[in-house]
Amino acid sequence: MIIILPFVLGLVSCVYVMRGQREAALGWWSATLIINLAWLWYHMTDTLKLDF
Amino acid sequence: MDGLGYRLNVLALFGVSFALLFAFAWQFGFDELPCPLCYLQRAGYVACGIGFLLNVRFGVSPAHYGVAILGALAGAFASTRQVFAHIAPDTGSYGSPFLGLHFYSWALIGFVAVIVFCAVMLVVYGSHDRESDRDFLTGQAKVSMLLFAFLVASNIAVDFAECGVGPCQDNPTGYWLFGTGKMRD
Repeated sequence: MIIILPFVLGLVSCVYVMRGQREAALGWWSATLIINLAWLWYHMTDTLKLDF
Repeated sequence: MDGLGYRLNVLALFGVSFALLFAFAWQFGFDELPCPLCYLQRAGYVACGIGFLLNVRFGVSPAHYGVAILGALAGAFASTRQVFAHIAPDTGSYGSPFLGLHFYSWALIGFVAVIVFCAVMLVVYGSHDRESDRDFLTGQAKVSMLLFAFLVASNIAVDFAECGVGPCQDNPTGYWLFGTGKMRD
């Protein structure tokens, strides 16, 4: 699972919004949110080696 | 539908775009690379911006505010995680501050602001049913939609340049695509 996935799915959702397909846009947005939450779980449970 | 409510949603979409644009300005202006949690916060802004985008395109609806609130909550979790990582003394920080606060703190304030905005709009306009699809979009509405979509696309390009097709490094040192950085092990 790649980190650009939430942005890719978000862009697909944007395209559907602009094309006037609300249900499809909501579906892709749901996928965006799920991927985002999966990444959150990953980063909330691993050790971040930030600038300490 | 109340015209003011619609215009406020256009303004909110511009606000989300401004947050994404400011992050880009800081990234390229000061050569500060986003970390994995930074990208998740940007993704949170994308997720909540889609809620406002839906309001702008299809008319104001409580369901669309729900989309914005859930996206803001996801982003708020990421920014809170990063604030907590640096909240204890001598735990350092990530990036340089802006007006005394680091960007993960500003991001958290922004996400809380989005939630408060949606709550207030729901209190004021919550009883209104979603109007039928808008057959007329104002110039500002079109610009706000295109700007937001452009910034989402830009995030794909920048994210790919920095991290490639894997997770980003915790402490990035350069762009993977240009050979100055590497993917996370």
